[in-house]
Amino acid sequence: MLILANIVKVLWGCALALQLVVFAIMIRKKQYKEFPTIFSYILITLLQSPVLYLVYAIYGYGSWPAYWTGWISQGIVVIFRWAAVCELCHTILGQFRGIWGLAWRVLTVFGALALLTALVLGRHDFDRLISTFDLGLEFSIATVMVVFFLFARYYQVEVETSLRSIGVAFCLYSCFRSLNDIVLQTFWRNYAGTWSIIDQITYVATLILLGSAVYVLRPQTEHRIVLLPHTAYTQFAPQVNERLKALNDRLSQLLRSKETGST
Amino acid sequence: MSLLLVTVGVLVAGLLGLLLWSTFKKTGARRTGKHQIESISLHCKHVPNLSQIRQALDRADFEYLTAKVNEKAARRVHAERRRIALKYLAGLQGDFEQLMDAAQVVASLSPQVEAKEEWKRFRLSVEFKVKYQLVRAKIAMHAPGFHGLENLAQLVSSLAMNLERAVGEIGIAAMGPAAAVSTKS
Repeated sequence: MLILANIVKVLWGCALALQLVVFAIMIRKKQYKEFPTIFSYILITLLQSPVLYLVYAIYGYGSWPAYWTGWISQGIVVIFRWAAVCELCHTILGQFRGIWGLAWRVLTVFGALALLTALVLGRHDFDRLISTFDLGLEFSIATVMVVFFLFARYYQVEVETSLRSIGVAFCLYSCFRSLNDIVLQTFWRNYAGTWSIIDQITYVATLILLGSAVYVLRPQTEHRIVLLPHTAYTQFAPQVNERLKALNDRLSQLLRSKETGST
Repeated sequence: MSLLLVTVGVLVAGLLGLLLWSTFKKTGARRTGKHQIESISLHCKHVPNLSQIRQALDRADFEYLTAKVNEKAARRVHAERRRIALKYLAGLQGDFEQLMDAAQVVASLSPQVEAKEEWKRFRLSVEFKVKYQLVRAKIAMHAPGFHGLENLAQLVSSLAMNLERAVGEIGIAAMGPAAAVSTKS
């Protein structure tokens, strides 16, 4: 148990150091102007550590105030991460006004569905309710990020490598945290120590990816998208769909016909 | 292990798989902005080969051949016809993908898109992919006649011609009203 506690302490120190590094890079490159929410997220996570440390020092690690402070501060951090993910999606797709209008609706639906699924699947007893909410939010973030990348791929939107890395970092962290939460819900007290270690390891990995991404990130003002007139789309889209329908009908005929199969 | 753990584990594994797939770049360069419109290619590569394919898959030719040669040679010709048909079908699919790419680029660069049209195109392209695989499987089992493939080829190339005209109009519109007037005059 002492070894576990020491490992958590070391990982906590690493995470704090990395948070400071990311924070410093963002200040030095003035990225708080372009990414105010991502910057705020890093700042909030930085502030979370001394608050938690203080509460643990006063009330003890296993106390109720520590438990509630831990989960409430985590709730705030997850909400800020949610906002950071929204900012990232808007930075990448925002210039494509047409598809962004569609994307945010699609992402909202998928995010809400994922949240509901996790809330339904998770445990609902008093002890595990907060963990179920955490699972729901994390699963929702991961789903939104994946759907966003699929959307960008479908519309062939080029995502800058560093922005993609930030998205991947958020998504991977949320995926692993969801898994960690669900294992915690299943094994509860027996897993609590290991849960902290795995959470810290994935968080450190996320911060490394995030740090390297913000380090190489270029200012976003360099790329400006020139949009087409709206008439182009209104002429083009129905025509393509009509032809696609005809193509599918022809394929169906080909499937039904004996001619394809005969020589 | 609980059912809950397995269910969430499978869902998360699915998300990770999709994340991996979606973050890999598609083959071919992807550019942004008006360069994308300039790079749209609607040239159907299958069209110049249409007459050779017609000859290769001609039913009368095959019937004549099977009547004249032994069984082994007829089988070889049959396999060869199948191989040609599959390659041709793959070419058609390549052209179709190219046209779909063009449609996606126009949608992404439009200031407003219709959710209904986008959903319809997505649904139809998925339907195309499924049916294409079924036709492929059917051809892989039996060598085809030319008629069905010719119909498909005509449809893909007429789609290309329509889109080429539309892309031309888009190019003019993208240059602004002055360009449109000078083109008309």
